[in-house]
Amino acid sequence: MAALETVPDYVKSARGLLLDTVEPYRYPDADFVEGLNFALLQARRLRPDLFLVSAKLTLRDAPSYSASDTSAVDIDPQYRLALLYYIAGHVQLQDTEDVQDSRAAAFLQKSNNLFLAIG
Amino acid sequence: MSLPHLDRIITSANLSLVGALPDTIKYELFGVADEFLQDSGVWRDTLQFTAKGSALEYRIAPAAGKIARLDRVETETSYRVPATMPIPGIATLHIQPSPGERFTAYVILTVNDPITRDAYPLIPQWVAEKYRGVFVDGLLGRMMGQPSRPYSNETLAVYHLRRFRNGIAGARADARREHLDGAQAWRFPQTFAVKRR
Repeated sequence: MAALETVPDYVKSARGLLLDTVEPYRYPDADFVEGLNFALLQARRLRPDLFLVSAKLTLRDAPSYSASDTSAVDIDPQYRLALLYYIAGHVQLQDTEDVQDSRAAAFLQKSNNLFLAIG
Repeated sequence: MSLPHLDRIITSANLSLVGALPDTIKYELFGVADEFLQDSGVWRDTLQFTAKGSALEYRIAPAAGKIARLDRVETETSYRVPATMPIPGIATLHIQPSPGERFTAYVILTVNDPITRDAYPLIPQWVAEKYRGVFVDGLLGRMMGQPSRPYSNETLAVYHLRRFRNGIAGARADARREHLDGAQAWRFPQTFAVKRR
């Protein structure tokens, strides 16, 4: 089974990138879920081919999630890391106390590169 | 349902396209096949129809694919009759047929919707096998020509599309010579005087 299959997989891995793995957590789950939803919107904008339903010759909308439940995130394994880095950047950018804007920008840039370039 | 002759083409293209999705390649394959088949005319079929009264227009439809062009219409005795096809799928005779007279339309086909359930375009197996390299070049050219993708490469897109067009030209020559090695485009004596060169 490929990594990053479900919403909690993304939340857990993004917490790892943000060094927020010990309870009580600094960032609530809801922030990560929101980041995932925004990452999917960004993916839909940059890479519509990721949402191609070829058998029906149509493009589907980006899915949206309301909680860190066991929902599967249906995205090609090649682009799961791009979502992960976007989530980490998005959550980091929202933090006004532990300000690390350059780190957030690096995560978002990394995500962009994974969507659009070789690395 | 897996179609090995098309899977090989898709996999060959995917190996050179970093980050491309097989579904996207499969989607592009339809456009590549359409351009190849329309311009080369290698996929041909014969369709019979019978004159009804004095009607001049006849709807003809192949079992697979769709009609791109009409090559010619002949009688049962292989006599070529003047005919056109202003709308693909409707053969128009420019002579007055005798009621019940049987004709054969020679048509050039291309891919058509619907595709298979697994989104493969319906291409004759022999075409995909014989012109595999041409299809791969077409796919690589089209995919690499897309902007802002990990596999975008303007230089290689131009290179592969040039190879694709050369491949189409070769296939067109194959079709006109009916895949005969070293044959000429005409055959003595019947069609020499009437065949369009």
